[in-house]
Amino acid sequence: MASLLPLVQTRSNTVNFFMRRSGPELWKTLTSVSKSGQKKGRRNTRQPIRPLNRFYRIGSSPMKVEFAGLNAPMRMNQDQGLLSIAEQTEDEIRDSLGGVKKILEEKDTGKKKRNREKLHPMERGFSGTQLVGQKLGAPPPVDGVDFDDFETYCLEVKRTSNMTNVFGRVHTMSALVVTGNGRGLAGYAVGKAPIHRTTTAIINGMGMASRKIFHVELHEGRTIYQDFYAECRNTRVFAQRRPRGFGLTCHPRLIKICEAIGIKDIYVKVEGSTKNYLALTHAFVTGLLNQETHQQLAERKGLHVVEMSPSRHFLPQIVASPISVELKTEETLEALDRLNLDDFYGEGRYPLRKPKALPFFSNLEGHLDARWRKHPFRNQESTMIRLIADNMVPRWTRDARAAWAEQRNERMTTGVEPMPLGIGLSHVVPKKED
Amino acid sequence: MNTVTIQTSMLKLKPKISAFTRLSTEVRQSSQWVKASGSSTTDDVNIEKLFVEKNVQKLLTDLTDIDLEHKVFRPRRTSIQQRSHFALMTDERLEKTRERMREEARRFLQFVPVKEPRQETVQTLAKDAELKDFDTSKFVFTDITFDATDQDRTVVVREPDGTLRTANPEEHDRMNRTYYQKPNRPVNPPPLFSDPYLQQALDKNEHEFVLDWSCWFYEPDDPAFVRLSQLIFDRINETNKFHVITSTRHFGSFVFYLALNDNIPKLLNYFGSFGRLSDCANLIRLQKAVKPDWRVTIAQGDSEEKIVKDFIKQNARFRDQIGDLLNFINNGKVKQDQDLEKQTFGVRERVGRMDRRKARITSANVRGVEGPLAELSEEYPVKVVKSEGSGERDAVEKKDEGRGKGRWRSRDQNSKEDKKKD
Amino acid sequence: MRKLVIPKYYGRPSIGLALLGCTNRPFYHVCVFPDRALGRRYEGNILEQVGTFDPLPNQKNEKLVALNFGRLKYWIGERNAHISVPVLELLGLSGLFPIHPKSFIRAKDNRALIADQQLKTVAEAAEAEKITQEQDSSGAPSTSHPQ
Repeated sequence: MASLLPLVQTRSNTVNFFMRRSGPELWKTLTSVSKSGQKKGRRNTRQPIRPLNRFYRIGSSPMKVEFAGLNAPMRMNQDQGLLSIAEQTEDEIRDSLGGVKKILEEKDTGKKKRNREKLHPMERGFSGTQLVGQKLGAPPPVDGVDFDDFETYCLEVKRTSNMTNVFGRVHTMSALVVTGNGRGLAGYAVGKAPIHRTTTAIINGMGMASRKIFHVELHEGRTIYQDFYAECRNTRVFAQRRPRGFGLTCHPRLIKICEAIGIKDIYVKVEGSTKNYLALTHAFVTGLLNQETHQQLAERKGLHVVEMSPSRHFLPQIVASPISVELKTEETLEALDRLNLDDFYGEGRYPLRKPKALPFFSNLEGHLDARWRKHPFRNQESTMIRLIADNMVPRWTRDARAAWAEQRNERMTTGVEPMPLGIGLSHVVPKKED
Repeated sequence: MNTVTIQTSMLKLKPKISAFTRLSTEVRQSSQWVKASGSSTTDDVNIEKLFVEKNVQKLLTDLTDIDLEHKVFRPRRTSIQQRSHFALMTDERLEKTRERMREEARRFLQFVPVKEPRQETVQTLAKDAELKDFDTSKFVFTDITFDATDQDRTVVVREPDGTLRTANPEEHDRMNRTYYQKPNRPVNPPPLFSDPYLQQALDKNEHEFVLDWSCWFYEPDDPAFVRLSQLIFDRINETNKFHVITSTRHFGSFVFYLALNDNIPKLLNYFGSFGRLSDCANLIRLQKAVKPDWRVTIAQGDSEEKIVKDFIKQNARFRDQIGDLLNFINNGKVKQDQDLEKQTFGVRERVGRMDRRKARITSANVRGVEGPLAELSEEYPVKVVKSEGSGERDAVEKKDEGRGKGRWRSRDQNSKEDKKKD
Repeated sequence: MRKLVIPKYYGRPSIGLALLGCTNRPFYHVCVFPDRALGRRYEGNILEQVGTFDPLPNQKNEKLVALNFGRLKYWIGERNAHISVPVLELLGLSGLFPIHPKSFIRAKDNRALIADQQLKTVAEAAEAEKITQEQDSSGAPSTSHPQ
């Protein structure tokens, strides 16, 4: 056989248009959309690139025949011929036979596979698949200080724009990030990145936040020391101390901030702008940092700070007494010191209290009717509990009650238990026997 | 049916019922509170009168010490969530408030009355043989007239054999509970008042809870109440768990019951183990007041120690029961405070967490290990900055716990050391 | 519904049982109605509730009756109310009134019924005994003669 070498070399010269162009070039002629076409919206209807050689590559076969120059290198020595069959183990043969199937399966699973693992509802963040509100872990160590026990939350990712002389409108991603260790240490910062680089912005924010750590004193390690009012721009924040086990009742972003700091019981009312999260964060943190601890209060006033807990029937218990200042006596007391302590915080401002609006359906006829239909059963649950407690009914399931009724019926019909008779009950007459 | 017959029939019944109730309170042979085994000598003792006698009440109130922190006003679960209040107080003011709380506690600790149980016998009001088998079940008639109280409400029962009788105390109270419901007062007595559950509760040192609930559930002169409280008192005495009942409102009736039954040595020993000599003497005085013909004689001017010593001398049979007391009298040794801690553990464990957190910084302990610096105070001298003094600002350290992990702390320390070098 | 009469001032009041409760669970209120002629099912007709009556015995085999005797005396004595027979029976049993004749009839009927049942049970027992004796007498020889 004459050498194929010259044939291969001359291929580009001799063959037609399709042979002359490479694959990508050819596809481009089909799938490309012009600039003006893009403007007219043709990008959406363009043809996709089809993977034609997905299942069968040219020259491949289950037997793995090697064609020199096609799927094997050309060999200069002609001893073995141009065709040769590669040796295969049985496994390889089986694999190559099931190759098509394998590719198909791969495709199916590839479509179903989610690229992110499912998150617990409590950790899912504010919306859908976005990172906003999710737990993001500890920030990277700075200067050899590691933040192992810190937790980071992203509160907001937004696109900001700036008008420049040269580039026109320049967009930037900006992320508000809070990090904290849940024991009083926390920091917040805004991270920036070029447009669409959300994650970069958040990571920058984490880095910044971990450099701006502040410490908040927590009362009993769970709540604030006293009610406070704080404001930033048009955002006004009224925070209130709450008893143990109350939980976080506040703006969702503030919940995340409280979790980062370690506040467990608080009630916060936000007035004014509730969507300027940076101002909100700033106001809240300012308020927290402006608090004074009981010890500081005692020092400032020169008096004992006494806690009166309702769970102890308001038994007075000293929580702080002045160390560096002399304790005042009744004679040296000023009129100001006699006032109620709670009135001082909040600078005389109080949050607007609105009664909760009734739902629209509360006065609809159907709703009222449904309520009336439920009315006979209003005591059912307590009665059930009482009956179970008194051992009247073993279990409150439909089957158990039916069995109980069946048993009673049997006992009455056989005469073990007397049939209740008497005043107010209808008389029982035995059936006539014909 | 005209009005005249009604009037006459009512007139017929009413005096009978009232006469019966009067009879039940006056004529009595022996008290239910005195156990037969204790002493059979004193039969005609009116314990209701004896309990409210002035000197007995005084002795009982003296014996009931008021422990505000751990007993009377210990943290309890409240029905509504409420945050604690804070106030600024001077020492005088604080003392005044504490005094008011003590007054309140005295009101809280008012004793549960000790009353003779009502008699269980019933009186037949009418008998009608013709009415036999008119129904298979009893009829219980309750008078729900508006102005009747729980005590004088008329409850009558018509038996299936036709007799009409007054209700026994159990039925009477059950009808009260049926028609006049109160929260946590079900119609039937809860299983907690009967044994497997009662013992479980007592094992968990819930004596006060059970007694409180039984006070709420029963009338004080209910035979069931008397039986239950005696049972609990006996078990307290058997197991030496006096700490669960001290400074509660049941302590008076408990001590009174013990004194009535000549059963005080264990309690004496308990007081002795804390070195509370006056309480011991008061207890012996109480026993004497309750049982005037008791062998121990107490003169007017006897000192407390003499009273106790006389008691020990004359009651040699109790010698093995009052080891701690003897130890205290002879050697002046009081049982360690550790024991106290251990005994009050049941109460403390609910409190403990809160108390530890409220460790307070005062001028006394600010320099010590209990202060804000904790163990670091041994390494570094603590200076307290006076408000007018020149500022050595880093002298007073804020509480350092919970500020992150080791790195932070080590870094802090390094910076401090650097400053020291400077 | 517009009322044709004002119940408060209409006719001679009547005391009776008003059936409340639900399916298979009767429960009565002892009520005062404006007139015997007016219905008892309609709650608007009730002038006053003076008691309750539970016709089904409770766990301790008691039928509970609660009566407001003060108000009953007022309605009967001052307003001369008519009383229905079941209420008269209850009042008789409670000892306020003499016992109503119907209670005696009830008692007599019940006693007859019980006597009847006892006779029946005795007869049944005797029969059963006879049968067992017969079986014994027939069974004994059969065991002795296995053929």
